[in-house]
Amino acid sequence: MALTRNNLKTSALLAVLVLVAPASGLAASAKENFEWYCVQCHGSDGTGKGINSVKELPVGPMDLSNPKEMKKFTGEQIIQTLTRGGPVNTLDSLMPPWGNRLAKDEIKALMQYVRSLCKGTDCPK
Amino acid sequence: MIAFKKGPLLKWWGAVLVLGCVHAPLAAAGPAQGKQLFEAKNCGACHQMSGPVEAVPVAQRSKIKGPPLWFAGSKFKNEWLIAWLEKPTALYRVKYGTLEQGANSHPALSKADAQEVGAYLMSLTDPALKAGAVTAEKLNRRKMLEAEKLFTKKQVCFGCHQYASKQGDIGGFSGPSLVGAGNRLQADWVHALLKDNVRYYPNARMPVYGNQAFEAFTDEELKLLSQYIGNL
Ligand code: HEC
Ligand code: HEC
Ligand code: HEC
Repeated sequence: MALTRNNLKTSALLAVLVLVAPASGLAASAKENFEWYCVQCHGSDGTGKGINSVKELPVGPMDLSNPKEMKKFTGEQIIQTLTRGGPVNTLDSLMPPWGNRLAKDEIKALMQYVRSLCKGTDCPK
Repeated sequence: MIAFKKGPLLKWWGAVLVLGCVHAPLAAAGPAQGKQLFEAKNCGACHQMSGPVEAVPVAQRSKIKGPPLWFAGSKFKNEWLIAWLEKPTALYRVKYGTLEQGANSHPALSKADAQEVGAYLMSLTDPALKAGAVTAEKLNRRKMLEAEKLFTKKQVCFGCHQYASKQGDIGGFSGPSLVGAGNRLQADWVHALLKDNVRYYPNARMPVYGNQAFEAFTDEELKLLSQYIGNL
């Protein structure tokens, strides 16, 4: 009896997991969000060579793989920039605000993803 | 009514007739015929016609084949739309849904069909959109400069949209071109879009500037910006 009940419990749990899994699969990974929203300017490797990187713009999209640039910002500052756009950290407004489009946890995950694009030995963590 | 008793085929036609009679007074002949043409030409294979459209996960968005049209009558200017349906020119600077630079080719309609389909599309308006928030009036030079600053400095809209500047057509490529947007777009719709573009483009790469987590523009600025786009 007990075993069967446990089994029932387990299968109920499994069923819940199966039901929940596709729903949580709807939330995008940071890489997927980066590819959809950020690559248009920063390029897929983050070096700033997206298709919107044209010479008439006030600045180039920042090279996110460059440790010198990336050391200038704490994780918290990056989250601010991503939410409200460049000007909150005295950067150009070409870096748009995403806080109305993306959820807080998506933005936090993007910050961590941006950190992972940095190339070199002196990258901030 | 008698027809209903005479057999399945007649019954069918009877039903079609009844349906036709019910629908006819609701819509003028143009939109109804335009809708039939739209369906016959399978335009709905690439365009979402009922809305608001739902957001899909970013990883699946490249499968969307064309912009949604359920609010076409709130968005477009009638004359532009009919002319475009007959002779479509590329609006996007990327293959739709990708980041590959290029122009989309688009099926064209005969002049007569363009008029019918145009009438149908113009009958599809967003019931939530209140007309009259923004005037379509010409802006004077001083206001034009003030508005251009909103477009190029306060936010850098031309980072993703081409527009006609004094140096010619400049800007990024990921969004549709706004060169000549004044002939194409209704300023009221632009205003609604800038406030809440999730309603119209839940699956777009464009940031949302409106009134949720924070406001990037005041409503006065948004109105001026929309009027400016109506002057482009
Ligand atoms: C319209 C083009 C554009 C888009 C789209 C864009 N960026 Fe930026 N981004 C910029 C520019 C330009 C700068 C540098 C501004 C400067 O140098 O003043 C920048 C700077 C940054 C910085 C450095 C600023 C800081 O505080 O660390 C980060 C991080 C960043 N972007 C991440 C992202 C992410 C993540 C996305 C997608 C959600 C994104 N960007 C989308 C143009 C863009
Ligand atoms: C194979 C997919 C496909 C089919 C079929 C198709 N369209 Fe389109 N349509 C598109 C794409 C892609 C665009 C964007 C074109 C561009 O870059 O200019 C577009 C743009 C439009 C626009 C302008 C939309 C905007 O938001 O600017 C209208 C109006 C339109 N199509 C109507 C139609 C009609 C009417 C038909 C049927 C005769 C049709 N389409 C068939 C893919 C399609
Ligand atoms: C990061 C890129 C990006 C930025 C920055 C951006 N847009 Fe967009 N915009 C887009 C894309 C992409 C679309 C098309 C959405 C679709 O088809 O799914 C669009 C659509 C539009 C449209 C509708 C045009 C049409 O013909 O359908 C208008 C108007 C517009 N944007 C105005 C603006 C304004 C004003 C700003 C600045 C406040 C701005 N955009 C900033 C990417 C951007």
